[in-house]
This record gives sequence, structure tokens and C-alpha cells, in this order.
Amino acid sequence: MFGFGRKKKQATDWVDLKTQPVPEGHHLLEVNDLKMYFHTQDGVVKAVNGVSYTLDRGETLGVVGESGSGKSVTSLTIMGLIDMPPGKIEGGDVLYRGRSLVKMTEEEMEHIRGNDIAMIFQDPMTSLNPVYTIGRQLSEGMILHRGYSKQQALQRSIELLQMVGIPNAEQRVKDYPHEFSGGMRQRVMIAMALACDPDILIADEPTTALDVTIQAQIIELMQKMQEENGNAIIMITHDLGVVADIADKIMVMYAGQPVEFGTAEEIFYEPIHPYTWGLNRSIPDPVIDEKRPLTPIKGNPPSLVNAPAGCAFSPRCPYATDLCRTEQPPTYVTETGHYSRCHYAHDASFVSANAPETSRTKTMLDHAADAVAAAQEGGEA
Amino acid sequence: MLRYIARRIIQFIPVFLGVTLILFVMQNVVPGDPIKLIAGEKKLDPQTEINLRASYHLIETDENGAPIFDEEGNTIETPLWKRYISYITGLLHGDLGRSYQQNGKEVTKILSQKYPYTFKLAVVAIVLESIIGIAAGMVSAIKRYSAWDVGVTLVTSGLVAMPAFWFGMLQQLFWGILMKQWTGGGFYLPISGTGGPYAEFPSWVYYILPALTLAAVSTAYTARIMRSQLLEVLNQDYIRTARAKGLSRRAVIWRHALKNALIPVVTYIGMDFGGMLAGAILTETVFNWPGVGFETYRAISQRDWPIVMGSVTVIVIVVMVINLIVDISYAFLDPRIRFDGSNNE
Amino acid sequence: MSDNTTQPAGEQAVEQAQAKEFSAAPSRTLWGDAFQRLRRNKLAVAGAIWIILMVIIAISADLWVPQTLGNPTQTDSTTMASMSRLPPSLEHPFGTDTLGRDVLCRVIYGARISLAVGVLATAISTLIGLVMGALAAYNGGIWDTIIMRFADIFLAFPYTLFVIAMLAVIGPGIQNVFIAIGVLGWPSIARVFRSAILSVKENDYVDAARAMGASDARIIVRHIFPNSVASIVVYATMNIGGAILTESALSFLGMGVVPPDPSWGIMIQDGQTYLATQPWLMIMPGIAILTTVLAFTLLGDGLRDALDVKMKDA
Repeated sequence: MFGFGRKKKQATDWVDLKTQPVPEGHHLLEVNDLKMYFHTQDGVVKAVNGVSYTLDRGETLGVVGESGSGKSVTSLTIMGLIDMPPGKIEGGDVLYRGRSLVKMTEEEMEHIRGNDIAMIFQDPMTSLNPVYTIGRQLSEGMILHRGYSKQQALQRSIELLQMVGIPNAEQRVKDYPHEFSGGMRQRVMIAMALACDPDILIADEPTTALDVTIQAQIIELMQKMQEENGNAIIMITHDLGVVADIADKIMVMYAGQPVEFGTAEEIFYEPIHPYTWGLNRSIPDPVIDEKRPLTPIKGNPPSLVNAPAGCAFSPRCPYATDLCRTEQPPTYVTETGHYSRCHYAHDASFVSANAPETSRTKTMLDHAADAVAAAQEGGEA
Repeated sequence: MLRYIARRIIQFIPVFLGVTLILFVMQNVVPGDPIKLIAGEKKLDPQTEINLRASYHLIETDENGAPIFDEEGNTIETPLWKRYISYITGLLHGDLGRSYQQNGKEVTKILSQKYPYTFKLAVVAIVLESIIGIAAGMVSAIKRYSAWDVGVTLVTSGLVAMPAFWFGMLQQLFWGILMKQWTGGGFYLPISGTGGPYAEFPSWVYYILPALTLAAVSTAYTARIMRSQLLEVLNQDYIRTARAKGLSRRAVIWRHALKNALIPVVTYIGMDFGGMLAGAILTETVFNWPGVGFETYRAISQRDWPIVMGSVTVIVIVVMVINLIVDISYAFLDPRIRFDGSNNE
Repeated sequence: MSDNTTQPAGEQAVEQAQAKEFSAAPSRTLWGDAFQRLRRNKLAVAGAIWIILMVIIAISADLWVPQTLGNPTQTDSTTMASMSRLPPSLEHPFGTDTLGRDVLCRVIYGARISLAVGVLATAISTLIGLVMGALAAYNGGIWDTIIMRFADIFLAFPYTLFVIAMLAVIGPGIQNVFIAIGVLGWPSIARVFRSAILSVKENDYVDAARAMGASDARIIVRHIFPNSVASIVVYATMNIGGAILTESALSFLGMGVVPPDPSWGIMIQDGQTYLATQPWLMIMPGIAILTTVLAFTLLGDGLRDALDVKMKDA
């Protein structure tokens, strides 16, 4: 932990996991019933409470939820970046290429971080060290994981900056973070994360702190890089709209639990959890009739210390019954793997009666059909 | 960068004028005729008194320094503003006037004899402060809530709440008297009363206790600032970014956290060095250290105003120059300031 | 939690509604919360208890100290020689000084002077500092420049040296100590208050209040003062300890309280001569200074943690 100037011994026998094949019967990343609790003075905060999903190369997973829903903590847990204590993994496992990240030593995790799994953060203004040049910060990971010399790393840094679309990269590499704009800094962050060609890129609200016009560029850049490198992306956001067009799978989180998980199509067209309906209703939609009211979800997320006895969403759910308020809902899984934690998810009539009309489109055809449907609905209203 | 320095120097001028003006007014509202202070118990004949007044620029003189008389044969008192101007002019030429005592010795000479002692003591103290304070604060932050951290917090709280002169006396008591067996009685203590104001301290060991005393409070502050800064920096997003790159906790602390955390600490230590050069009146008094602080204290109690004025003026200039240097080096440490300064954005 | 910085759009309406409820009784919540946090801070509570104890002892001293421990200033010349510099005993818990006076008795009366200097000098500098800081921050422009340049000039002096020089001019004595420490302490308070006002002024809710047509006076009273009073309270508490230390240093140098009044600094100076033989003469008053200043520091630290708005989110 703390030693004066002792040079870290590089474990020479370490073989990069990303160069090895995914073992039979495993996915690239498997999260199984992961539980991360924080033991604080006020009690136990169940920040992540039973999260499960799988991810393969080239896929994009969207993790959607409100502030404090545990979506960031989940990915920080995967990265091993939660301080323990106060955090404690109370159960579950994370398998990367069949190897448990949870059981790895700190030193092994240092090989994984930045090399196999990289992460970019919400606020590009504060995520870069102000006292070092961009080039130095970009080089660091490559020197560490790839054994590059400073010169090689700098050369590669310039290439990376060009790749993420920073003009005049040879000059800019010598600049300090404060000389870049927010969008440019997020590009630098992406370049830094992709420097060692990782398997998985975790993006924690990468566009939230940026101007709307820049947001689309950054998302586009991430997609383009994914096409070139074939890495998987975990995109964490509070905005269902952000992941709509890029995610293959979406996990909706509420109060530390995944309340619904499915393909992007399922989440948008056949959502079976009232919370997801609420999220869908609160997306402004330029396509559908302007008169459609935006319906915010009333109330606030529950305390993670004293969670409600029954379904965590029951205090805010307009359809909650006594059953919801007293008993934790089971996980209802459809044949496709689409799952929901709602007592009534299996009830097709309940779902069809209450699920919102949606206009999200995958194809022009759907788009048109929806527009017609929307027009009709608008007419009736 | 140059513009930043120039701006700082321009800001320095009104402060300097204000400070000297305040000092000048203080000196001149002090009750008591300087000539009486100079003469002490002796009776002066009128001619000597007039010559003295002329030589201290209290009355108007001609080019040759001979006093000018009005029609009634009385001397003409020099107005305050003229005296202030001649004081400032003298100051710019390195002339701080002459002592009322010590046979009218030049203040510049007196101070130049005293300053080496103060300077050496301050250097030793600042080295102790930097090493002990930064190390203690760092370990404290890294091993937060450990026994070490609690210990550092308690010791620093105690040191901050202690009068420095009392701490110095406790050390004299401990090392010089309680530990007499071990230190050999005549330990290298400038214990008050044994050294005297003109004692020589040929060996560096004499510096230990005064320097520890002088550094005690600032070391405590340095440790506290270092601790809180490091803790704050370790909470920053860019530390998480560095960890996410795969850097070990130690590498993150040494390569990323330390430089950021040190910027305010270095600033504090720099300013503190200025403060120490200001002559540690209390430490120097307790240890009879023949430095500027002790000299100032003696001059105040003997109402030797030119020395007080002169040393305070020098001290204030030294402090302001050091602060200026600290500000400028701050700009070198922190690239954000550097660019703000040169681009004036 | 880790992702508390942004809010989903849909949630903002609810948040705003709640914020409205919240602002109905801001002071009670702030100070109530702060008090709860302060109570849990054992060090701060210990500091507060020590201060209260000292105040009670200092105020009630006349009622019981002369009867049990003797007079703090006068001495009986017939017994002086036999009573001089006795070591601590049951009768004289802290021993006696050169003139045969009880040291505990003098320490207790010294507390009166120290506490009085601490509180009064802080009150003077806080008052001047508040007025100057408010003038500078609220009026801005030329006022700000002049006042802050003036503060710079004061701050360019090494503080102790400045106070000593001032006392050399106006002469020693307890009133002059009040004045010197009080008057010369204003620039730092003015700076704290000025930046507190400026940072509050920057806040969106002040802009909002102004946009809604609130008058300047109303903005100061309703928004700026409640939000900067916390920093003033913390600063003043810590400043009392500093003033006590300065007073002891001045008295030690013989420029503060005039003997025979019992100041802790004077007692330490008296004891210096007998360091080798009767060390309690300087140890006891030193411990009195240490504990009192420490108590104010701990209370100040506790208040800062309890009142700090930044800490509230954690």
C-alpha cells in the first residue's frame, strides 16, 4: 500500500486475459446476483442488491436508472474500485472470461483495470489530472500494461488523439487538460480508455455533463470505436433516450435492483415493469404528437437503508396493491430471457392495459406505423 | 507569465507605501521626545541638542547639514510629510537611519549583524517543518483513522494550542534539566540567561531546540494542511481515473495525488518562511537568540525607535518579497494559473 | 452515493416541490441538524464542557477563591518569606509563587483576563470585520478595492510583530490589549465574511430572489446572512483561542497585562527564572493556556464540521 519509492515489481508471468478465449459455456462478462452493501453509521446501504446480466464482445448494454439506483456502484464494483470498507460484497460473483474478478487479488485487478476493462466517467472536466499534460496521462496506461517506452507511448498517444478526432494532435498532446473544451476532454478520456484496446468499455454517464450537440458526437465516437475494436460497451445513464439507439440490451435499475432486463426492443416495445413504463413516459419525443403529456414519476427513490417491505417501487407505483406493499416480487422471466421484478409482469392483460404507447423506432416502417398510431391517439384525445 | 509577475509587483507598491506610512505614523505619535530618549539621564547643552536634532533630521538644515534658524533664532521643526519623504528616500538608498542608543550606530549595520542568526535559524526550522510536517500529514491521510492518524491529530491540536515560548521552555526543562544525565548537563542549550544577547553559537547543535520551538506550530499546521489536502485530492475524479487505468494505490498517491496536494502545502511553507524571517520574537527571546526578533523586542522595550522602524520595515519587505516569490512559484507548479496569467483569460 | 450529481429530468419537478417545503424553515433545520452533529462529536463536546466550566469558575471566583486560596494580587509581607515558592500540596494544589501567593488562585483569576481578552477582542475584530467585509462584498467596485487594499496592508505585517509595535505605541495595559488585538484582527474576518457573501451572491437562488424583485436588504437578511453566519461563528470561535494565545505572548514579553494582575503569560514569565528548581510555576499556567485554547479549537473544529454546508451531502 505505502512504500517509499520502491519500484513496483511487474509480474512477468501475467498473461493478458483478453488474449485468451472465452471458456466454453461462459460469456465475456457474467454478473451473477451481485450484492454490494455499504456499512455506514446510519445502517447498511444496499447499494447493489442482486444484479445479474451477461455481455459478449461487440455488444452494448445500457444500464438505466435514477440517481442512487446503484447503476454506477455496480460498474465500480466490477472494476474493483469501491473502497472496502465501507463497501462489502455480500454475495454474487463477476466472471470475466470465466475468471472471478471478485476473488482476484488487488495486484491481479491492476492488470485487469485499463487493460481488459476500461472506464470513462461522467465529468470530463474533473476526470483528468490538472497538473499533467494530456500526453503524459494517455501514455501512463500503455507504459504500465504494454511495457511501451515513453517515446512509443507518446507516439501512440498522438495516434489515439487523431483517432478520436482531435485536430492537430502532435501539438495538443503537450497541452494541459484545462486547455481543452468539455467535449474534447471527453474525447481524450475515450482515447485514454481505449489506449490498451480493452475488451469492455464502461461509460458512466459519458454525456451528461456535455452540451446536447456534443452528446451525439461522443456517442457516435464510442460506436465507431466499438465497430473498429469489437469491444463491448456498458453504457450507464439516467436517460433512456441516450441508450435507445445504441444498446443491444438494457437493464433498468431501481433502488439497487434490476427491475427489468431485456433487449432494447423489448424494453421499448414490450416493457413489463411499471417503472420502465414511467421512464418511457418521461422521455420527450419529437416524433410523437406534441400534445402527449410528459408524465414524471411521482415521488423520490426510496432510502436504501430502510427499504420498503415489499416491492421497492410500490410507494411510487400507481398500480401498487397490498401484495406489492408486503411482499418482494419474484423475478418473472420470459422465454427470451427478458425479465421483470413485478408481481403482475406475467399478467398479459395488466401489461397491455397499462403499458404506454411508444413511438421509438428501429426502422422507418415502424416509425411510420407509430406516427399513424400516434396521430390516431392524438385525434381521440 | 511575465505579465503575471509584473502585475504582482505593481500590486506590491501601494501595500508597501501603506505599510511604511503606518509605521512612520506609529513612530511619530509615540509620546516622548527622541532627544530625551537619546540623552537618557544626561543633561545636554543646547548646542549639542540642536546638532543632534539636525543629525536625526528633526529640524530643517541647509545643504551642509547646519541647522537653519528663524528670525527669533529658534530652530524650525521639519514637518511630518517631509520627514516621511526623507525616510522613504533613505529607505530606497538602503539607509534606515541611526539608533537612538548604541552611540548612534547605523540601523542597517545593526540589522546586518543580526540577520544571519535569524536566517540560519529560519532555514533549519523550515527544513524540520517541511520534512516532519509533510511526512506526518501524508501518512495520516493514507492511513486515515489509524492509531497514527489519531496520534497526529492529537499532537497537532496540542501544538497549535500551545504558546510557542512555553513549548520552548518545556524543551529546556526536559533536555537541559530532566535529561541532564544523558545530555551531559551542559547540553547545547542556549538557555536564557546563559548565552546573553551577544553569545556566539559555533555549532549546529545549538540550533536544534530553538528551531524545533520555532517550527512547532507551523509543523502542526503543515501536517494538517497536508492531511486534508491529500484526503481531498484522493477524492477527486482524476484519482479514480488513474485507478481505472490500472495504477496501484501507491502509484496513484505518488504520481497523481502528491503533486496536486503539495501545491497549497508549498504555498503555506513558503509564506511561513517569510514569517520566520520576520524574526521569531518569542522564540528568540526565550532562547536569547541574537537575531532580529530579539533585537526588535529589545528596541521596543528601550524605545529605540529607529531600530524598531528599521527592522519592521525590513521584515515587512522580506515577508512581502517572499510572498511574491511564493505566488510566482505557485504559477510554475500549477499549469492552470500559469495560463490564466499569460493569456489573461 | 456516487451518482448524485445529476437528476433525471422527470424528477426535477418533485425536487423543486420539496425544496419549497424545505425552505419554509431553513434556520431551524440547519441549526438543529448542526446541533445534533455537534453532540455526536465527542471532542467538540469535551471542548464545550471545558469552556463552560472555565466560565463558571472565572465568574464565580470572587465568591469562593479568596476565602480558600487567598488573594491573587496582594501578599502578606509577614508570611511572604516562609510561603515563597512552596511545591504543590493539599493546601496549595499548584504550589505558591515567589511572593507567597497561591498559584491555583492566580491561574483562576488569570482565566478571567484570558477569557475576557479572548471574547472582547474577538467581538471587536468580528464587528469591524463584518462591517468592512459587508461593505466590500456588497458594494463591490471602488469600495471593495479600497477596503481590500487596506486589509492587504494590515495583513502584510507579521501579526504578532504588529500587535507588539502597536502596544509599544499605546502602552501596555489590559484595555490596550483588547484594542490592539481587536483592531488588528479585522482584516482576516473581513476576508472570510467577504468571500462568504460573494459565494452566496453567486448562488442561483440569490439571482432568483433578485429576479423576483426582492430588495437588497431582504436579500442580505433572508439569504446572505443566514448562509454566511455559520462561517462567522466558526471563525470567531477559533479566533478566541488565537486571541488568548496572543495575550499570553504579549504579557510574557511584558507588553500586555500589567503586574500584579494575574495573567497566564506573566506567570510563565515569572516562572522562567525558576525553571530548574520550581518548574510548576511555569508549567501550571501553561497547561491552563493549552487546555483553554485547545477547548476553543476543538469546539471550533466541531462547529465547522457540523455547520459546513459541503459536509451535509456526505
